[in-house]
Amino acid sequence: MKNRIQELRKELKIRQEDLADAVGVTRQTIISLENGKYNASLQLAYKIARYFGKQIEDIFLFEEG
Amino acid sequence: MWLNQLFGNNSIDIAKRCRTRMKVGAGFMVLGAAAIGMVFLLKGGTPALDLNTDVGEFISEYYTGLGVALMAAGAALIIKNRRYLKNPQLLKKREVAENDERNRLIGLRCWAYTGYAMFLVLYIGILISGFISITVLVVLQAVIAIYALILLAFRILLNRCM
Repeated sequence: MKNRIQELRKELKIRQEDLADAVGVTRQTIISLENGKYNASLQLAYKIARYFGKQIEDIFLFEEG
Repeated sequence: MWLNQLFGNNSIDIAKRCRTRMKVGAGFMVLGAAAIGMVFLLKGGTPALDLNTDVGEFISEYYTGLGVALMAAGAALIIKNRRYLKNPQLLKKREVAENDERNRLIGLRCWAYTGYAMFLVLYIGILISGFISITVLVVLQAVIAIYALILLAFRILLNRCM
């Protein structure tokens, strides 16, 4: 699953560390999410979406197949 | 429900967990002391632990080593967790690391892959030990059977609480 975390984070000039602190995960998890190595749980996806003030589907792009 | 408390994907109360770990550390130290105490108590020689033979000597050294290692591990556990409890910044960092969903997933997968590897190693051990010692073969077979039973028990437990 692709996501727009890096894009939104850079747009808002937020550090990975700050995002990690805000959603209660480690910086490494944010790095893995941005690199597409790890898919967030629904709970984390919701927290990230809420942090950016967006809907989950605006950040996490579901790809069929 | 206690099953959910134990296996559910709940967030961890790190201070509580540190205190529990300190208690576990104290338990380790008691077990270690018991192992060392046993060696001293049975120095006279008993049918179960005959310290007058070579085997007895080995076992006495083995239990002493085991006891010292357990006591050291217990002390390390207590010191480490006490450090976390005394430093709120360190405790917060630890809380994030232990609650982090990716870390938890990695931890679970580590156990799972280790389990698969263990099963394979035991199976290979059984195949090889048949040519060397029947006792070892029977022991390994018992271990793999108990392992499979524990696996089944956890499957049932997890099915109930998830």
